[in-house]
Amino acid sequence: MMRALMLLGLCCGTVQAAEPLPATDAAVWLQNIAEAPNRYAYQGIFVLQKGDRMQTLQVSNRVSAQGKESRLVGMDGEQREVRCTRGESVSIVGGPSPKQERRIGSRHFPDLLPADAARMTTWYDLRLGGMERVAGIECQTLTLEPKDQYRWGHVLCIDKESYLPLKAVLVDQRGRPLMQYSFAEVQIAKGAAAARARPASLPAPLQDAPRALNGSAVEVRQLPPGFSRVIAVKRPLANQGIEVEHWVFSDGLMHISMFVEPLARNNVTVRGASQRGMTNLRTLRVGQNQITVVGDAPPAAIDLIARSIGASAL
Amino acid sequence: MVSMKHTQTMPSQDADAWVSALLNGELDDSEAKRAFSRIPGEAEAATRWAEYNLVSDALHGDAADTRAFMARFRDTLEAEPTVLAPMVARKAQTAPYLWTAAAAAMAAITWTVWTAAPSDTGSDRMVSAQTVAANDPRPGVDPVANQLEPYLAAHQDYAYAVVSVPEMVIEKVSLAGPNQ
Repeated sequence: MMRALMLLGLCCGTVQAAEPLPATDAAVWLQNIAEAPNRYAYQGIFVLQKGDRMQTLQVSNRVSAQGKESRLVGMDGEQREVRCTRGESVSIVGGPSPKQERRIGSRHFPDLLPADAARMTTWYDLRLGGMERVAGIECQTLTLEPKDQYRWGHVLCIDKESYLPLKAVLVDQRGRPLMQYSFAEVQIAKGAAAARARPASLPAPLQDAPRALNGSAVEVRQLPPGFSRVIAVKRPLANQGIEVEHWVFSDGLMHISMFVEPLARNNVTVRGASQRGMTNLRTLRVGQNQITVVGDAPPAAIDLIARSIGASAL
Repeated sequence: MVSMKHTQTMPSQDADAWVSALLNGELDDSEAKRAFSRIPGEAEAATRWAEYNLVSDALHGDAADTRAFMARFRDTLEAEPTVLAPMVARKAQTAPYLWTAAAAAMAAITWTVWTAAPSDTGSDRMVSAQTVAANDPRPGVDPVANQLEPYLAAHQDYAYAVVSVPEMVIEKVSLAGPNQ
């Protein structure tokens, strides 16, 4: 309870004591939040703040008969655009001669929760906080407090009409903000107009796109509770000139990547952490393979996965 | 019912000091809200806010002109003081330009490196330590940083879609040394 109060107090100002929602109520909240981006068109500008860095992005989302389509455009730094449609995602980097890359993920703020978000009540307690205003819209504060040491907490501010997150703060186990998204301005189209949007087209298929992984020299024998493998591909790694296996494990909110590649002659085995401890990394050698486990997750989750990697029976 | 109780008061120093404290996350919740609300109405503070953000962008290689956004953002903050939730309030040791110093420190990463015996099982044994200072974790400066950055970029591209460069900076690395 005290940790929940800390989360709400530190992130949202107003603190209200709240018991965890009953699992059924919590599941309804999560499911509504997960489905909001598939129901509503929206466009706006949001800010990503991580450590002392701030990035501004323009986002638009529309709903068509084929599903949701979204577009992200970076407003500062390198010119970058991400288009997501029909479960595929492409990033376009650069100006006059842009470079296109097929992405292996297609989710982004404010589309944070998986389609089966209700199951997350097993691993997170949900508590309702007070009302806040974000981008001129009243929103309901909602805390997702992890039940174990394998995940970070989240504080969301939810538009009560659409259930779209207007703000999301990732917090550590002491309630300290690690990263946050917040809309500075947003328009949400509530109604059927969004359904008439024409589907967007993606650029032509790209070379060097990730491809499905068929078999691996390693296997992961144990994952943190609630985590499962959501993707496993072979992909090129930027500026490395090599192809690596990229596995992603997730509990729906947290993502942990594992990279597998042939052992290099001068490889090193390291353990690392980012400045605020949000991102943790571990590399190790398994047989003749170099493994890198990295994720925005507590060290306990990274270490559990790293310790569970062994040579595959293949 | 519990309510947050704020005992700190808003620093009364000049704009340099309190804008710096705001950006350093040294103000508590109520102080930060007051600070955000003051920025649009105080020309010197607004100038400092914009300058510090531009300095940060320059330090990180994002040299794009963000003035237009910052102007709109200031307007938004005037109406929405809670758009950016403050960091955890630390006891103020407020000093001008602390935030820019922190940003510079972010670029001047200190790598703490332990040399250790290699292990096939991945369980590394740390036996000694040395500190290596690097002014920039970009290619050609630190071999460990060079090795890690592509993995961070690939992971963050999957997890967030929105980052143009790796946002994570590995600060502490325990190094097990080359395999033998």
